[in-house]
Amino acid sequence: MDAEDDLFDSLLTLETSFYQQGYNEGLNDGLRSGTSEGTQFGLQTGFQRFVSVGILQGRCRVWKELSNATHSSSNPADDVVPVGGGRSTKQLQVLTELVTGIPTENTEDAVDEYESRLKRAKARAKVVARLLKDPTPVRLEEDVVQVLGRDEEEIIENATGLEPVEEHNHVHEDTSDIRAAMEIEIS
Amino acid sequence: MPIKQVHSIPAHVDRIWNLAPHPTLPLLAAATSDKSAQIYSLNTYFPVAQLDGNHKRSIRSVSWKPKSGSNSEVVLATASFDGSVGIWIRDSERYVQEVGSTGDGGSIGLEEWEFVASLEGHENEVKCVDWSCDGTHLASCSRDKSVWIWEADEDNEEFECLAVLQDHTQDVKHVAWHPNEDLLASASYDDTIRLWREDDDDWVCSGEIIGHRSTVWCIDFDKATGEGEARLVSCSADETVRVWSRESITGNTAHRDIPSTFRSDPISENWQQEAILPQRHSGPIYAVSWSGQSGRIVSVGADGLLVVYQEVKTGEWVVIAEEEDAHSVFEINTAVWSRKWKSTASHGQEGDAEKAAPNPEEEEIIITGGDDGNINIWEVTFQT
Repeated sequence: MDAEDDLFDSLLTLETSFYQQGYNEGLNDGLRSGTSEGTQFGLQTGFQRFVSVGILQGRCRVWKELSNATHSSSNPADDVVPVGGGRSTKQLQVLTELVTGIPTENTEDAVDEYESRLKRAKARAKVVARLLKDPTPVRLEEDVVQVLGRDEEEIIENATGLEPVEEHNHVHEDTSDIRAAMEIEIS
Repeated sequence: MPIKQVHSIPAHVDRIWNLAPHPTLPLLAAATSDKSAQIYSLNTYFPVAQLDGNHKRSIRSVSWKPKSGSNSEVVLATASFDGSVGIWIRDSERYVQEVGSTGDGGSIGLEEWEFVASLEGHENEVKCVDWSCDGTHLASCSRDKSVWIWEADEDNEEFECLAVLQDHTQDVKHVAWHPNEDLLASASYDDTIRLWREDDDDWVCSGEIIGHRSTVWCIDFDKATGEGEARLVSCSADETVRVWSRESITGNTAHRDIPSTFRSDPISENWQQEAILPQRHSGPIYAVSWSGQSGRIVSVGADGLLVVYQEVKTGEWVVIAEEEDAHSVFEINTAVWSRKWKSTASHGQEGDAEKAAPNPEEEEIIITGGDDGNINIWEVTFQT
């Protein structure tokens, strides 16, 4: 008798069991795709963020070698960038320290530290590049830190091959501020 | 009404953005919308020079380099919407006579000033430029949220960028230097005012003033503070004019070998609100100026109102003069105090004998510029 009861008991909970089955399937699918998408996103973000750091570190090394070379070179005909003096050395030193040893964990503090350091580093890279008279723009992953002159418009590799956007057509974030919109003065 | 308009100069442009009187000479520079800076004589109110041909968009701000020591050149910096700052020098050998010594400015013809340098670097419109009190540093700020500090060489031809300061989170509208310290203040669309100073060869943000509820359009320092003191006035789109004073500076105890990125004791200043000036404006207030002569403050804004305030007791201000529609129906963009150069041709009333004639050295004028393209000169008549 008991065996027969067990056999047909499941007929009484068909809905819930189908629901449960579907739920489990969905959950597992979600876990799988979530993990793979998350890993992808993490890799992408990690790459973008730290390739910028790497670029800056690379520039620092080149600048350091450049300023060392100029210091030791006594031949004025050498094709090296003239150093901006003691000030540039100091700035370069600060910049190097800023981009070295940035924490790579995924904690709130580490991310904040990364962001503040990178912001400061970008600004300082502008200063150093100007001091050393290096006209090549510091090209980071997400944008180009413009250096000397704004004619260096080879910024974004535009896949469509269209001309770079004219500087007059700025979409100004505070156009709700009428005054600011006037200040832009689309000419 | 204790304020009267004594003159109006038509600049023949769409808009005057900014005005700057020279610290020692009777010259007035005007930043205009027709891509040029105009220079006027404050003795004759006639035009002296037109600085054009180099900027590609409106000039938003002008600033005179303070004369220092042996350097007697007349140098003007112009900040433009084209993203660059221009440096112009008056050829002092060509124009030997000081401005205003000729009776009729019109017949001389305009002077040609030399464009000596263009400071590039900002990513978009430069909103303001200002020289430090000793003329060694030049600060510029822009819609790209950054404040740049430059240092000039002897000839004003080579400018070195000392710092790119990115702490503001929005468009920076105005920069102003302290009258004697190496302290810079900047005002921004992000509702804050930031203070910057040099900390061991590195320019850092040493303080932040939070309180305004909208864009801070303009700031000006009190020129009469004592040693180590600092006060500044700010005006905002929130229709208030506020005075702030520095309570203390801390930090920067000797940590010489540790670079500033890791310093645990950064220099920091504590600023507090000292007063909110009596409410008069009914629209964004675009400019405010603190007189170095009389200590009075003038404010102008979008409502066309010109208001003059006086401090009766530290922290307590009263309105002593108001003028509605100072530029008819137009918004007023700038207001500055200046000493009075042009003496009044005739003192009409005979019965003035018992009143002591105001000392021309102490008299001052207010100069305003607006969207009507006019430069108006105002005098606050003395109460006796």
